[in-house]
Amino acid sequence: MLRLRVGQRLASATDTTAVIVIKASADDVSLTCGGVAMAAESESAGADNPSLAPLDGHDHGTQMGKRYESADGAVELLCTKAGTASLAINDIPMTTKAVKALPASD
Amino acid sequence: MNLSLLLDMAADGFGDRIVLGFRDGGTTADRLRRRSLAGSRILRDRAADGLIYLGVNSPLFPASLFAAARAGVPLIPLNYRLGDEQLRQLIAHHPNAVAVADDEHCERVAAGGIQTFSMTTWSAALDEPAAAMEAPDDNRPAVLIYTSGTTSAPKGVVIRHANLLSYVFDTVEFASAGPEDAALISVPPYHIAAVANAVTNLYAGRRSVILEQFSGAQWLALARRERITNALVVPTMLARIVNADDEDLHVPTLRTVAYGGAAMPPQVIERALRAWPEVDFVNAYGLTETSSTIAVLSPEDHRAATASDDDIVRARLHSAGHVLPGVHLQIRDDDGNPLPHGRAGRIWVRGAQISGEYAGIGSTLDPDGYFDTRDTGYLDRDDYLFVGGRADDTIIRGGENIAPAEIEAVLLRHVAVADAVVVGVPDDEWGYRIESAVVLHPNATATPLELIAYVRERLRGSKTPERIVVWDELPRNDIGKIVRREAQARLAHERT
Repeated sequence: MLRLRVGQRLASATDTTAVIVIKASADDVSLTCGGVAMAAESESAGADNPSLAPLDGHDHGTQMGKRYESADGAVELLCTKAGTASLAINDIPMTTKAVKALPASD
Repeated sequence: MNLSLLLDMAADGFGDRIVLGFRDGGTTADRLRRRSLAGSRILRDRAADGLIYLGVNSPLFPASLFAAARAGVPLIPLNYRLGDEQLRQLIAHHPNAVAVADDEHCERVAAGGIQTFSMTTWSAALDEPAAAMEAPDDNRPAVLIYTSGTTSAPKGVVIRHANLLSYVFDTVEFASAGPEDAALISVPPYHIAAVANAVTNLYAGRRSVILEQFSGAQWLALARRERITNALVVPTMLARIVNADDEDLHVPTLRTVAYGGAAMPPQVIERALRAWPEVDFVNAYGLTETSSTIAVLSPEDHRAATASDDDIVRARLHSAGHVLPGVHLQIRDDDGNPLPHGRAGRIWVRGAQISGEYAGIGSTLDPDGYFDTRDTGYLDRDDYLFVGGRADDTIIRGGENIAPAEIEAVLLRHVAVADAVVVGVPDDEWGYRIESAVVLHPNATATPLELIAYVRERLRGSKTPERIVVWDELPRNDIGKIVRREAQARLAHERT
């Protein structure tokens, strides 16, 4: 279990996925990628050097630049490096969140 | 969080793509990262606590912005049109900054005892190889922008990394731009829109082409040559483009024109809509303190307003549209109480992109996190935001609060009037009396008495200017905002 904070960078242990926390809940959560807990980017073996493979059913992939939110909307991550595994909070898959893009207005 | 995240993602995601400059010879995302890293090294080696940028907008502006970000110090873009004394006062706030300046302005900065690079030497220094460097993560100030000071002395607005990042994440999809997309940037670097543009276009993967010195003809020529698809202009620029001495205003690739930064005269936007029926227009409303745009009138809204028979819908062409999803807005009275739809008051906003922080003053947000924009406005029945003017511009005549914007809007509807300003001039009897200066269209005629009668027919007597004079042009700053203090002083002076 992990207490997330906004701005925290996390890396996957099962693939190349890396994320940054955009929105955090006050509760401890279990954040996994490929079914295995994610760790602080600096502590992990390195996002470019995954040591395990994603578990079955946790291998739908992540897309760079997409935002992923938890089912209750309390946690939001931005994918900064793509991979083959998928993200889950407390065993529930995270889903991509569409940006209501401005028509290039500024 | 740190802005350099955006540049790292761009370089990792589409490093080979040209994100800055011309189709031939522009800068790729990879190169921009290398150059900004070299800049960060210089700033850290010299223990700089800020990076002053004094010059025209150029490809060195985004490189400088990201160099400062990775070094953990704010970029401080200053207006090179400021007088020596004003500039000296601003620079004196930053004795430990490093400065980059256009050649002709180097002496002016160096005189303040600041380590100064000319743009030429800075550009060469950015090509030196530099070792990787971790960006500080503690939400420091990313940019310090001094307000234009049209109503009071300049204040330094502090915009933190999280303010800008939340704006980007909430409004731009990463790498969403097509390979042919190109944005034409013509706002000066000390304007918040230049900062917002630099980060949003990069994150979208859209190539930015910078027009260093604006003229309508040059804008059109560059837009055609560089196959521009998106552009941002302030109202005075749009007026000059649509009035350019150019047989046709055809820019075949142009898809979107966003405008903002000052109130748009109705005749200018209506002319632009006629000139470019295929183009999507976007009105963006925001302040420096709100990290740029907080409300937009979309292309669909423009078209619906133009096509509608309903006066309420037609009026929306001159509104700021809807607030962004991440922004909460309240209209409040002078005592801070929320007002219902249709009632005009002060515009207050809340959200992660809202800074509301000033150097040397701190945060000015209220206990609920709301920022007082000091703009007046109201919401119509469907939440369209209508922005009046600055609360500080309110004229108090005989105890009555009068908004100059309402009177100016009436004058600008007169067929002969191209530009108008209304101010309060000190008066022994009323405290302030209402006076106005207008600019007429070329070859148009209208006498002051005619114009006074025109206003009186549409507004009540207490809102009718006692005197209207015709000038060749109004005092405007380079963003196109009317400098009311100057108009007021000239009107008072001409009277005596």
